[in-house]
Amino acid sequence: MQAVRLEAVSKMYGETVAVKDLSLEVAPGEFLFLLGPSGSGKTTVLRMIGGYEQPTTGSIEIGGHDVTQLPVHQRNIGMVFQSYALFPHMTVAQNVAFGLKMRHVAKGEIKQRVAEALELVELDGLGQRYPNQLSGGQQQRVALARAIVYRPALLLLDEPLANLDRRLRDTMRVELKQLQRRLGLTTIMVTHDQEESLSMADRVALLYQGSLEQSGSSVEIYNQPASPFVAAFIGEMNVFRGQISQLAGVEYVVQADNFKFRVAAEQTARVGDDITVCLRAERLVLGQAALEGGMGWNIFKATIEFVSYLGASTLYLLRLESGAALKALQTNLVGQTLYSPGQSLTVGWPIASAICFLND
Amino acid sequence: MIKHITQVKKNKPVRKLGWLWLLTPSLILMGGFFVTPLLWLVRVSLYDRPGSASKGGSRFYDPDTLTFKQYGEMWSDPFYGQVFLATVIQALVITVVVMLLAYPCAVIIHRCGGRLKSGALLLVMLPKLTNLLVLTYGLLVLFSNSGVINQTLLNLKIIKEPLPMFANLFAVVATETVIIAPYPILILVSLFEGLDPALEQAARGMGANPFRSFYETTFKLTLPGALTGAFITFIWALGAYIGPIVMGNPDNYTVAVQVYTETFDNNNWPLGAALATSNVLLVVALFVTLDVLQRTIKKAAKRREVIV
Repeated sequence: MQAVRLEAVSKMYGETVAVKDLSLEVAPGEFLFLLGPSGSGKTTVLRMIGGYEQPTTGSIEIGGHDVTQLPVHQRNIGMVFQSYALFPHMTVAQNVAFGLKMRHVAKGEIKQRVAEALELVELDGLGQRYPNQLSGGQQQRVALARAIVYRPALLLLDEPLANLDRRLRDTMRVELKQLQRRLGLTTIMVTHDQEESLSMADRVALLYQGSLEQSGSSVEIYNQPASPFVAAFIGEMNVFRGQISQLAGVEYVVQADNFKFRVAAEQTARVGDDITVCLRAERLVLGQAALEGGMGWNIFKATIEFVSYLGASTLYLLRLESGAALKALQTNLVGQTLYSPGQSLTVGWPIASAICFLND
Repeated sequence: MIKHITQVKKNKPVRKLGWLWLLTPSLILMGGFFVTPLLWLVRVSLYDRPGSASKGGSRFYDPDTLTFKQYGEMWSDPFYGQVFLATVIQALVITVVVMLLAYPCAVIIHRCGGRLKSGALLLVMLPKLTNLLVLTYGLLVLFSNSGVINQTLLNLKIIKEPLPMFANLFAVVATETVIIAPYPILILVSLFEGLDPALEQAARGMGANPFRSFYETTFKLTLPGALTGAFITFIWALGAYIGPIVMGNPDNYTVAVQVYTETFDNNNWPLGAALATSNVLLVVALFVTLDVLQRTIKKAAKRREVIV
């Protein structure tokens, strides 16, 4: 039995389609990420699962029960909002106790479980404070404690880390993931941050224009993107559109706008087919090492146009002699030479490292 | 260092004066049209009534006198006490009716989306764009025994006798409600707009039904603001004049009506002024009470935080 099952769910706002024929399953205890750019419908999907929006068509099951018609308060969900939505007129303890109070839990037990929940999020002793007396990170923890204290069937997180500064966000990622593991709580989190979803998710569901583009583990999403959109959405990507101009054994020659290169052959393609080639920036090799690649490589002469030093790595913008632009990401190893703008060098990549999509 | 400080000291008064100049228009306006008439009102209330030991002089008050006689008369004659009491009671009734109407109204307006909301707000403000007298006579046409409502119901044979909707408390309260309600509605709508809509949603997520969610979050959070709205309504209702005089009977007459009667019917300006001054003092006293109350609540809240 799946913890959550969406079947052919669509949501229309008048003429606008927010979510289109979406089917999705979440296993018990799974940490699923809904990832997508703004306007992809990811928040709408989360809100429909929570019961805050009604799907126009399709059905939603939680724990094997059809909840499509069930109002929010009967769904037994825990929800954390981007704004946290802490009750400003209640203390932290009262905020956390709210869900238990609504479930008519005995007073003594409420006290004990609130204390436990606050301990779980490392806020013990702050129960008598008011939300406005807490830092952003602490407020975030209260929102989390408030959502898990009554052991909901499902935890829904709507960009909960978006309002935190970067360092705190990194810490909270780890803590949130560990907490979710420990409680074995089925969790669905919405984010537009690809890094966040890759690092935390058991599974990522990538949405684009209201449709599910791909669902899979972080590694699958990164290494085997199902569409050019998925490929380009995650990481630094070079995208070329072109035409297959020649078949040469196990290779094609692709004629892009202003340069020709080779890619590993797929059996279904023919000469003249339109093709989109995606090449991760970190797959590009610069300098002498590129020349040592040999037969299975594309090798070009290029000029450095722009250098963006990122600390752990450096991003170069390159211009080929033919005028084509490329992005190359180099890890900054010990003794690594940094190139400077205007410098000429060789750039190359193994033909098998490009991801190809035949256009319809 | 010292030089620097003296420079600052030199500059400061110049700056302050600059700000004061900007206040001049509003000072002239407030002084000329508010403070001066008010002081004149107080002075008139301290004259003796016309004709008493008069050496000629005014038809309306006795110049060259300074006496608290009018205030004494107000205190000693139970009639005036009754007028004040009736005014306060009627104002309380109006306040309750206005707030019971304004709160749900504001909730509905707040829940309306986009164009519907602007339309609803326009509907609320529309009576305010009409002249007060025209508005009141419009209600008269609606409510009186030969008015639109009663005639329609009589013609449809739904009722045999006209409904008593005129020259009674109902008519006065209804009229004053139409006049006053837009203000608390606007105050409440702006309060609702300031609340994070996720608050109520969060309560629902934690298992509270829609009514409970509303009560625990929106209602509790807007209660202090709603009380302020109620207070403004009450003060407004204390000064009610047009409702009672057009739509009421003598039992509904307020202090404001009595001021008119004393001043223009009895030509007794000092007594009218004394009544008006007393009404102003009553409002001021209420304001001070509210302020003290709010401070006490705030202090209590702060003490609670300190204990934590």
